[in-house]
Amino acid sequence: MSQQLLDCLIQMIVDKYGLDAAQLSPHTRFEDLEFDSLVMLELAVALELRLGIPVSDEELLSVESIGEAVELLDAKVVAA
Amino acid sequence: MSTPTAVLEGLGTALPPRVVTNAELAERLDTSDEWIRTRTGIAERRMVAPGVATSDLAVEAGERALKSADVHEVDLVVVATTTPDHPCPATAPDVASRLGLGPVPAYDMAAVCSGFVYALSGAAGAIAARQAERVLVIGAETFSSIISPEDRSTAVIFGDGAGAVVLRAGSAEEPGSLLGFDLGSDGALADLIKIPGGGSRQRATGLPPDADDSWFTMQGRPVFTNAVKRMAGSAGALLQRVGWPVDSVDRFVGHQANVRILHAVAEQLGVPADRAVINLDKVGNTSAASIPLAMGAAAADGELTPGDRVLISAFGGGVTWGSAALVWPDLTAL
Repeated sequence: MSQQLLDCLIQMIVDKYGLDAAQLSPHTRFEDLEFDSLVMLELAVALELRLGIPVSDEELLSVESIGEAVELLDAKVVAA
Repeated sequence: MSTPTAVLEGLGTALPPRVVTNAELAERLDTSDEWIRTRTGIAERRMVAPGVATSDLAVEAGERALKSADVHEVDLVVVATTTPDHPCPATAPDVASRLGLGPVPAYDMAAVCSGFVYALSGAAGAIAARQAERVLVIGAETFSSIISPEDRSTAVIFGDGAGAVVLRAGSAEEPGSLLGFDLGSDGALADLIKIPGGGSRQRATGLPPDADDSWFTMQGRPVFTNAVKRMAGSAGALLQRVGWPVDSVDRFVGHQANVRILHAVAEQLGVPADRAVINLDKVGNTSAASIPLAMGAAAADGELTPGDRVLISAFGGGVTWGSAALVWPDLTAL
């Protein structure tokens, strides 16, 4: 798992939703953060615009944790 | 002789008195005040009384804009609307006539929620080409006429209202000057926002119209995604063109679609969220009327002050998008 992508995603979540970075790790589940489909849509748009990684909200909704999301993004970066 | 620049000199708004709260909608639709507020930022919207059409709101807002500018004559009237009084003819000539503006050219602009920015651009172009010295631009909508009362995805979002501005020929150096525009469209995404029936495409089938096809439809998720990308891209390109560093933008007046879209666009641009003018909590999404309504409320509240650098951006059906940059003038919004 790319540490850089992990840091980016965690920072994005901290900035957008005011959460404490110390409480976020690859094991953090989106369900436990009470992230709904609209939050995943916002994250998908931000990931594409800021990091240039084209990911859809459906794809983000298919993973359960921050770590799984980073793996999904990693695979997309490699594929590109 | 230098090319004239359009300068904003008057602003007027009109809202129907009837308020529709989230609680009222929750009585008849499977939704709640909390759901609507958290997902859209909207607390209430306005709705016209039976018998009131788009031109009625347009005339009211137009009268106020003319009074705000303290003028009685214009050379052109443009009405941006998605909900014209009739499919044919355009609403603008009727509005111009009822405002007593004489036999001036008058046309409608159809670009859905981007309509006001498109109309501003057209009006500024007419001024630059010396075809008009002064233009009345109105964004007016009675969206309640095209929203299915049963469709909770659109009924909670849209509202009725109108806003109008008067532009006059001036110079780029004065307050109120419209310094630049960025417009675009992508017809491949036309299905995202549409009224399926009622036009030549449906009539060409030779089949009788389906009543359900007369309502406005919107695909929320792709609209959200494309709205953020296009508004941020267009506004960012315009900032570069007019040479404004992003931190010099005092106010961002985005189309009042959804507070989460507005915040995402501001974040993407690098404009602090508290510089985004938010008016949709009180009026919902009023489509082509949303930007002049937001500017009117912000000017009245002292959120827009003379000399402010104002960045405008919109996204709408078509799909279409557009941005404008202006320096706020000393005016009284009515």
